[in-house]
Amino acid sequence: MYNTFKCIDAGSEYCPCNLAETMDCVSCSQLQGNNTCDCSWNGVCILNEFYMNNKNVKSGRKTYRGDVVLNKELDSNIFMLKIKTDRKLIKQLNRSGSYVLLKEIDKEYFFNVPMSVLDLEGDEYFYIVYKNKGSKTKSLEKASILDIKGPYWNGIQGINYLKEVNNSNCLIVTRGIGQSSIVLPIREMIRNNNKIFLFLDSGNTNLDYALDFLNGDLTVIKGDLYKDSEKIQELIINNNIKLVFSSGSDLVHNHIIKLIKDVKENIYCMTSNNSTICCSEGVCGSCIKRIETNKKVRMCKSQVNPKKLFS
Amino acid sequence: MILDTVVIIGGGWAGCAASIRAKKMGAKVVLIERTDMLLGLGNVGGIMRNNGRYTATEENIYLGANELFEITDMYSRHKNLDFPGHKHASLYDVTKIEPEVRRLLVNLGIEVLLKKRAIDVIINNRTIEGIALNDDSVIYGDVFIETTGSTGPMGNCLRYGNGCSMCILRCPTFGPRISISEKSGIEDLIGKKKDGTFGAFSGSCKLNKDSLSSEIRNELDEKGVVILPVPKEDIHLDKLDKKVCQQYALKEYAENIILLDTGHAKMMTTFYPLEDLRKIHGLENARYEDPYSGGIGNSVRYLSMAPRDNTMKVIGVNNLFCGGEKAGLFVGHTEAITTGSLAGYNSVKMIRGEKLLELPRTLAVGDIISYENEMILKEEGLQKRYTFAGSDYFNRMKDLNLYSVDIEAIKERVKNNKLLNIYNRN
Repeated sequence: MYNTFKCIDAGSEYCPCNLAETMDCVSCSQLQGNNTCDCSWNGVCILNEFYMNNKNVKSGRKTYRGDVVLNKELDSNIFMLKIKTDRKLIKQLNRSGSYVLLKEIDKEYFFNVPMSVLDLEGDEYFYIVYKNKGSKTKSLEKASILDIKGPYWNGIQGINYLKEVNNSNCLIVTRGIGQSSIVLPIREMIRNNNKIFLFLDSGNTNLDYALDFLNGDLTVIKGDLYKDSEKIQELIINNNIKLVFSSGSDLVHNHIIKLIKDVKENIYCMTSNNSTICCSEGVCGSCIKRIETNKKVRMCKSQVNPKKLFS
Repeated sequence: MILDTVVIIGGGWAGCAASIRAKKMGAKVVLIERTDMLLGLGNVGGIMRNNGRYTATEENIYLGANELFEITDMYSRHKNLDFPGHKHASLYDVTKIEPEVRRLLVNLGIEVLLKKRAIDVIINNRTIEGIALNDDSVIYGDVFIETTGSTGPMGNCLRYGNGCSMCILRCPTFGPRISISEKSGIEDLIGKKKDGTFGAFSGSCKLNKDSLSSEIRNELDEKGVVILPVPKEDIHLDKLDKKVCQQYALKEYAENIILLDTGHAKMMTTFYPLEDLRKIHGLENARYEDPYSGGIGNSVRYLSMAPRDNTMKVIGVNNLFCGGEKAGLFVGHTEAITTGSLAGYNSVKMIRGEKLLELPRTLAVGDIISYENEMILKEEGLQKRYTFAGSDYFNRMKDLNLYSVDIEAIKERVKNNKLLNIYNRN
């Protein structure tokens, strides 16, 4: 009866984290202060890791220096940055769902803004795309040297399904700058011998920049995901789609998951994580969401089945 | 013919027994097991028919629960064996028994789901509707039986024992046990050691027989038991208090290494440092077979028991029964088959809307179920274990004249209660 979820960091070099020390671990009932085990299993016993580390938490993420080598305005207020940084960080970011916290180098810590990794280049560069919206993003506009904290990995909910789907058909539905999260997962899908259908809705922009980073074998369908609902449902049925990845706003997720539930129950869903992520360490509480009754979930670290989150 | 579904969670001896009874009563039966083998700890146990278990076995057979005992008898490497504190034991071959039980269940038409781990319940107004599995699927049913045991998982063995000792339950591979009753909103009862701390160590380890000297191996094959004195400096009487199996918590078991031939060399001690073990003549090359880290620790048990009535129904949930260690501080395969069989039988009685069976206290199998239920309410009762094989309960059996090895007398006893073959009266 405890509230336990899968934690994206479980078993990584960052686990056990600060939450183990404060007895707020996402996954381990005993590290939530209970007497006995009741976890949903992360493939590793976090309590054991904690004891093996002499009841100390692991040291957290480092901050790396980043140099903006390209800053291109793709559309009004939408920018693409190419950033050069540490090789170790680049290696760790080569994973679907990864993101970093960014701020201009001399700014205060509260300017840190989470950014999905659009793509990596070589072993020193990565790309992001952002929209100038609030004080955090606006402060990036003229920055040439950045503080980059990372790696973080919980940018996509339902990421476990990526591993399970191979030799099948996958559909990616994306809208606007939601396309910033699709490149790495699509590559992984292709690596697993899946056939890819990409439904791309440019939203309020005219952008399809993600396509410049995708050169594999994929079928691209452009349209309006609200007007073309039936078309999307037909795509799912006719191609026997096994996994749908919705990358856009929560409104988009609600719409797509409703479409899926209408046509077929046993389709895996993945959604981009749009929570109000602030510290990314489960500590500040800004991303806490209540799902079902009384279950508070730290969305920056917890993996939740998207079907439970939307519609 | 009825076809409502009974779902059993946990494929150990209790779950297998429950499956057979529910199936033979006409239900559709689904058995969920998280590992790749049935029998759970039965894959490393093997001791049957010792002391009062003989009586309980025969009572079960006359009640109609004969199938599993036929298998354990058939696969016994040794019969009518005596060893310190124990008489007329049978030792089944742990290396051969599981496939035979699996074939029996499958041939009966029981749907056995292996490598499927229960993670949650779907419950409405205290009535369970389904069991959610780790692969996102749900197994729906009408009545549920929890036989998930009370051992582990890793965090519990760490906090209340010496860490994961890599036992046959293999939590790191197949994921942890969960408590279905607790997921249903019923708080678990927890057993204690004599010092009041939670849980208790499993009572035996198994050595690889090929790692023992040929003299010991031959003696095991021939006689079934080998007794080796422990060097004086390595005798630890206090270890006995931490043991699950109080029937083996005797002085002889601290002063001697007692090996039984179950296919492995079953060593009747919770754990024993490997370097000390190898000091003993004939064990110079010994290595552990189960748990793999038997030199360090053993699995920790009794951390998750459901409150129940004497029909094996879990109190507070309308359609949940329990059996085996989940049902109380029971030790042993015979005890698991006893409680599991009753739970399986009653699950179908419930579907039919008929009165649930409570076994009478004039039978050992009925008395132990009722007696454990009385004792568990007391603090001291939580520190005891209940088994036909020894300790307090075997003494009670003798005091109440429940202990018998006279098969005809046992049959008469069951008959007098009008329960002969009751489990198969459809």
